[in-house]
Amino acid sequence: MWGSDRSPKHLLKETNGNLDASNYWVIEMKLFHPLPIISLMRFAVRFALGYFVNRIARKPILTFLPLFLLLASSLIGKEVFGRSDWSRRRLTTKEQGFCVNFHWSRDSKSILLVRETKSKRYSVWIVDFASGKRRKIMEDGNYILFSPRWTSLWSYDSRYIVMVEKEKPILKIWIVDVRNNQRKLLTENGYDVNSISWSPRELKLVYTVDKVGYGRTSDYVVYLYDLSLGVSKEIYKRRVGSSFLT
Amino acid sequence: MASAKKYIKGGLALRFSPEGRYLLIHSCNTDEKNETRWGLVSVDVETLKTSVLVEKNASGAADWSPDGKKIAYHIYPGFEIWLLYLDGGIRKKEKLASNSDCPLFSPDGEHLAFLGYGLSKPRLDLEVAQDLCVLELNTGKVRQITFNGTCFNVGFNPRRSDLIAYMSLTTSVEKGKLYLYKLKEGKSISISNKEIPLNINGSFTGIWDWSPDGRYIAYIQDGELWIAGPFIRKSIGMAALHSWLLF
Repeated sequence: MWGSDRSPKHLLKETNGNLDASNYWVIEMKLFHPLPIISLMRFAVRFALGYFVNRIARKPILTFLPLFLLLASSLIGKEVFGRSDWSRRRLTTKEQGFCVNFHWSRDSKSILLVRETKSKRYSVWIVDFASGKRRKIMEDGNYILFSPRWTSLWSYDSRYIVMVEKEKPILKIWIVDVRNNQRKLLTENGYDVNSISWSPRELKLVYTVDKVGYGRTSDYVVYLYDLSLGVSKEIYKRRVGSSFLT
Repeated sequence: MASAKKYIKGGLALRFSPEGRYLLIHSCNTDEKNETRWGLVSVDVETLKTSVLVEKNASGAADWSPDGKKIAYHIYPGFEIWLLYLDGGIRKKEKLASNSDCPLFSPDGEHLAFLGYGLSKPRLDLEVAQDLCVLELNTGKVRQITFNGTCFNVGFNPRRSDLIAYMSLTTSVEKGKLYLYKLKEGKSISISNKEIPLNINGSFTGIWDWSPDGRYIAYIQDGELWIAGPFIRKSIGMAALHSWLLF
């Protein structure tokens, strides 16, 4: 795999400096770079490096060492250091609260975590995946839980989350800036929210609202909210199913 | 297990196309005979133009192809999976499989995973056995992955089409274990070391998910959040070696 932007130091940080079976160093490389010019340049640099090392250390074998390493690692496979195995680990414990729901951020760096409190309400946290640090971002409340696999509660840039709070008969949709915990109330009404999702490319949010009194009670209206403009538009007005996957 | 309560929604009736331009809606209309018809509708979020893609019998299980040019969807009665080719509108529809459900595209768009019904003996309280199958879209070849009839909640790795996670029921229809199937190697490995609930607080929400970079799977087990992985290697070694060679 080409194009690594992470150093080994970063990996150590990402795994909390704990190099167990789940953490490994691997070398994945190809003999030649896909781009011939870059490949030739790198070949030349490696050869030159070997030549100068030889001149200094007076060991001819060192001339070809960089190239030899490249070839050997390609031939033996992809693993050079350690194991390539995976492992499982706990990110939270029961003592910290019973976890009922979670959502990965789009950049995979954070997890939105919902826990049940002793008072049978929900608390909402952001867990930094690299450091394991947690911070509470919402006051305890009765939040609607959405399936992590089918709902995008994180905006595409991993900056905002949306949470739906339901304290009968009032329902509130909150947009939270996770950088500074600033909350914005998108809507507050007595309707029900059936589904909600951020756009994968823009700061736009779609959600369905059960318009009580709009025909049947199970009729939903789909809204599109543009965060940059701060306005919601009604984009579809019929009954909408409760789920795509049952 | 926590006490049952609160408001949980099982899924999503709204699904953006991969490039975010279109929104797929599982929609319901009443026809002239006052019969309910569940269909699929797409809305262009730029122009707000609405197009009816499927008029009736759409169960709601549907997935966009990664290039946004196709939609695989499930219909009932019949339990069939169809493929819809989009080209500004509907170009054609093609039936892909019978006795099946829950179509899912692989990230490269070359495979379609689905649940095949009745391929093995039903177990537990299931009316019909459901097994994970993978269809190779170029050749039409179907490969059955599981054979115990208790497969649920399937998901491709978002980056690698050869890794599929799924749940398999264990002792009841409410508990299962999470597995990872490696298509190239043809073997399954158990991800969760214990049973995990298929639902929390009364709804089948599927409490596991791939990280968007495809490296990890997170799942809830005994009220704790677990992380399994990494399943995709980072090429840090190459970067380190290059640094060493170049400087």
